[in-house]
Amino acid sequence: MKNSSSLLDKGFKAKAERKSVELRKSLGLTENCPLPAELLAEYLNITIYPLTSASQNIDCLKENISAFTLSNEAGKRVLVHNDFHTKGRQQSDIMHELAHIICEHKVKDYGVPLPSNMRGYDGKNEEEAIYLGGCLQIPREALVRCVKNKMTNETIADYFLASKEMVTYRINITGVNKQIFASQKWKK
Amino acid sequence: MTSHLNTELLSSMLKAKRGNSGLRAAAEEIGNVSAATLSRIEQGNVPDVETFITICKWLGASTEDFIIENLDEKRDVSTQDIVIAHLRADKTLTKEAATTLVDVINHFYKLPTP
Repeated sequence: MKNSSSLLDKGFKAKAERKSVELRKSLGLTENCPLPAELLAEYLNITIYPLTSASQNIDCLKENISAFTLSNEAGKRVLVHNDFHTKGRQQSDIMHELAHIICEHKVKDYGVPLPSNMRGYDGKNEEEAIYLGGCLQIPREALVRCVKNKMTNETIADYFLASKEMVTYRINITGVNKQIFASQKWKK
Repeated sequence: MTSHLNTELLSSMLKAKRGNSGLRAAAEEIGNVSAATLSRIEQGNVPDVETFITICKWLGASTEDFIIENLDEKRDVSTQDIVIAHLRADKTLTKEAATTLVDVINHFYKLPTP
């Protein structure tokens, strides 16, 4: 899991953490609650489809596509995700796409002719969606409580419907271990 | 009208300009491209937009030089009308994956939602 957050604007991380708590509150959940990605998608009025529900043979896509979103012919927002991935990974794939939508990331106009079968990649937008997606899955303060209560990474992952990799990423990126170690050191 | 990337032309021009330089040296010269990505593009895979534009600049070519119009287009909806808000995928896709993805996108575009 990427740890690079050098493209993020100052204040983005704090804003993302607050957004995770705010959306839980809007859904009647406390900041310690797991947030199923499907529930958030429904709240945001986005329809989710698994990739395998496509009529095409999608074997060649299962290794290299995570998810995509589009507005369909009726103008409704649709999110398609790779259901070959593990359950935890599927949750993070969907949350990542929802994070792009919450951040209101726009499709970039490159100003040059491009083939139809090619897609854009905006580094800063990707970093923002990675960080916010992680916050949406595992809020920082909830993670602090879990680590203080000596929950294993596996237990934390199961509780937040996340992968173990996501738990490790959130522990690293939030500096939760350092915070707890420092507060325990001062208490001695 | 939809179009696709002329991967053969892109690959051959890349190899020709790279000449005897290694992939790593060429990737460093191009900038913002890894040697691994460059190798996959030389093998005919489809890069993402930013990688493609960067390589075109290095080649001194226009992006248009590598676009092939799909003249036998059977789809009644141009994929260019469908705005893919976000796509999380590998840096390069095989031609088969890139083509299948366009078909899958069309499928979900037209699918009536409940």
